[in-house]
Amino acid sequence: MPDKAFFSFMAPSLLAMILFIALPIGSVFLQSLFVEHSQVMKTVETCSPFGGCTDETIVDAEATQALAQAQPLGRFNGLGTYTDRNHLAFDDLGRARREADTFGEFLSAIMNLRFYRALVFTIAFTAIVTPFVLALGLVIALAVNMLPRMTKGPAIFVSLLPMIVTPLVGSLILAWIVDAEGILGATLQTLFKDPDLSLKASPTLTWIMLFIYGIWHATPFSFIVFYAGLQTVPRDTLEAAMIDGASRAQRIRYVVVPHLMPLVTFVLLIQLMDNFRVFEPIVGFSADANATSLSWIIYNDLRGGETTLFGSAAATSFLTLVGVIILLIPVLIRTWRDHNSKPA
Amino acid sequence: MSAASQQHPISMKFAAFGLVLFWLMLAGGPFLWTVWGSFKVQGDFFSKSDWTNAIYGIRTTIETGGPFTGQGYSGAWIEQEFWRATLNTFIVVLCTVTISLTFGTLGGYALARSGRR
Amino acid sequence: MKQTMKTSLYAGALVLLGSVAHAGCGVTSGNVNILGNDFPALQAVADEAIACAHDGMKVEANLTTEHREIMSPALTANPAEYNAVFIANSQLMPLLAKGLIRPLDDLVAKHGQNLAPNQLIRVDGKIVSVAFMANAQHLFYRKDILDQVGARPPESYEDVLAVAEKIRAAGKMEHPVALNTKVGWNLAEEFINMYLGHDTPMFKAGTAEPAINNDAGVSTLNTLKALTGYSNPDYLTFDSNTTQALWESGDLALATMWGSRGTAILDDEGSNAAVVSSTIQSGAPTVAGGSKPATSLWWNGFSIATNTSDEDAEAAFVAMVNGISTDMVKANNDKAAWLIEGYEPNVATAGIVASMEAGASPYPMLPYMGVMHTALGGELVDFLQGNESAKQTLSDIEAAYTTAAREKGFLE
Repeated sequence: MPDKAFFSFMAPSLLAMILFIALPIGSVFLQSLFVEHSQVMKTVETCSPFGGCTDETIVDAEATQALAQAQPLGRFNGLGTYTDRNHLAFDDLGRARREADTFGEFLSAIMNLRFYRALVFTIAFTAIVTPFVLALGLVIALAVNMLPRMTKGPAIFVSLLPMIVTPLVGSLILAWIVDAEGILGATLQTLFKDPDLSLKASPTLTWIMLFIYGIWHATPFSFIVFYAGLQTVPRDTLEAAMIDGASRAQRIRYVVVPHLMPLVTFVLLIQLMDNFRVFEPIVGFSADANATSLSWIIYNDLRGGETTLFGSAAATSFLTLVGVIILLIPVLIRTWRDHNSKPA
Repeated sequence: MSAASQQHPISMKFAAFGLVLFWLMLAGGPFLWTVWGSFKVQGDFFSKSDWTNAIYGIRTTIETGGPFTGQGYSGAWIEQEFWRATLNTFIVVLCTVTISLTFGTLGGYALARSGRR
Repeated sequence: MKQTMKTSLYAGALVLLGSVAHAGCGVTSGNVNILGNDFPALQAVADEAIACAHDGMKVEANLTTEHREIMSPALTANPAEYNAVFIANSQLMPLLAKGLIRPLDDLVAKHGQNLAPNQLIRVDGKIVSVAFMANAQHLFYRKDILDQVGARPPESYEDVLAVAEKIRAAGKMEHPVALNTKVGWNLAEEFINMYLGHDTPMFKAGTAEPAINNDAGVSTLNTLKALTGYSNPDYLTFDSNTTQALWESGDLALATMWGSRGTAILDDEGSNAAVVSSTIQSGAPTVAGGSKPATSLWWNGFSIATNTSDEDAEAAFVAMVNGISTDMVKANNDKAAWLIEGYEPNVATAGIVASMEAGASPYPMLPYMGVMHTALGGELVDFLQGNESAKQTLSDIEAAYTTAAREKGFLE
């Protein structure tokens, strides 16, 4: 394709990507390097309906506004926000290393820092949910493939529901069911004869519940991709394998799975990205007492509290971006190699 | 169309059927339960004392005179103005899908057709 | 004949004047746009303000639970999207710090004759807001259950714990206690309320440096932990909707809830007669042998935006004053603990009034209080789940607060 045509076809996408992806990321990174100006404070008399009039400290609005207008971006903080206690916490890590007597103590000191706590959960979520989703999706695709033709359609439709419904709605629906007073929660209490059993009360059970939600939500995606792939398995190769005496399991292992490998890479890529930005289940299950994720602490900085911490949220966003890139490097290298080895 | 080579043993078919049924219960069950509960009042579906209230609709009968009620739907659609949210979502979906499909198809075509690496 | 003509003319003129006086409320033109939270009391005030609308004057209200997020950006725009806002005391200082609300002294002088002096919120000598209702968290208890275990109504949180133990020992309820302990804003609010009952300041005087790592802080944490010991294990997910639902289902005997929930609990929806008839609301309990109720007092009021024309500001002020008129209070007496003349305290708001009269502190109106509130919300969980000691938790809270305060510019 001639260069001019190539660029004119690519131009809209390139422009959109620069405007909506590259520039915002650059702006967020810039924001993460600044903190707010020092608030100029003064003591004045404040009168309220209760407690009469007292002397209180308030912010001197004019002086602070003057500072803000002189330097709109704020105070330059360099990489200070990245290394403060809310993020990589180098100071606290160093102190923990010096003061901890055992490795267990060091570990609990790390988990006390919110960024590492969120990082551990996010990585655990990604590492556990992704392989399960791949395996379950394949198994269900194989099973649905064996159904009589009439029932395939409805089966596929119902299977897709967990993925189609908005993640927040899906997690709320499951939260109501597993709640200690909900149908599943109460049944579990009866089953285990423990009236205090609550999936939302203990951190371990909360994590397991969130992992199960993640698998429930993402399996339809891998199911539908593998199911589509199964329709294109070359029948001749299958028959040849059967003539050679291969059993069912061997046929699946040596013919079907290798044929689906490119799809596996595709689903793996998408799942790694999706699971790394887990957020909705933590809100839906009100699980932030026991499990927080990187996306969740960004949301908490911006919307969760009384104050908005833009710089802190920007720094966490950028660190999340770096994390996703690191996670995807192996998959991207593999895809690049496959692409290069194909004939032009 | 099903050649002898494609036939599966009956036991395998049963196993597959059972697995798919179990999965469909997991996938669709919560939504069925929620649709059923959407016709009950809050005191039943979110009952703190007995979850079986949601099946029989005990508080629904007390508060609205029957085991099923459209209160939830009128509350959501009219009072909370869910129709407005639906309209907004529809506008966003229409515009996003149209624009991104167009841009993406053009770019994808260019990438696929070019001999560049 | 002439006499009757004159009388009827006078009568006609009076009627006309009367209707004009309400429609328009004495303002000929202006554009009023109100923003606020969405609950029945504010809806009542907004409706009354909207009644002022007429041909030359538009009055609209946007009451939404998202008001906190959109208020600051909406008021920064010039002209501001909303010129009258309903605020709670925690929102006043941040809005003042950015200069988003204007002084109301001249408007009060012109149109605020009916306002009581304690409704006027003054900062640095200028009136910045007009309060009209009070709210506070206080104690709700079930008289019938307390009678069954032979307990007196609790006056302090130590009493609450003793009564809870009696109820559990008698086998009546395993988890009789609930507070609004949802992780985040609610849990932090419970800590602040309990801490205020110790009558110790949270910050070093005149500075933004935290000072909660002391005996009062430890006592607060231990009391909270003891209370959650008598709560349902899911207590870290209990926001005010959940505690209300729990109360209405009859599963609780002692709860600390917002007074504004009183009306909803005492009505017929969601609850049965036995629970409703035996629910008593009393003032907030004291703690650690102190005499101050362990709660914070909140007021809701209105303010007028800076970035709006003087004409619109006056129209908004007049509409708002009309919204908090004595007529509105008489029609909506039960919806809130009004600070307005003509309000008659009743059983639904007894707890708020009792807490006020017992000398509870207002929620601290300091500009860095929000930072402390957020820091508390994140760090308290570790202590309540038994992962950390009280001292360690308090120093974690102070460290989290210091980091955030540095970023917001309150500390160096």
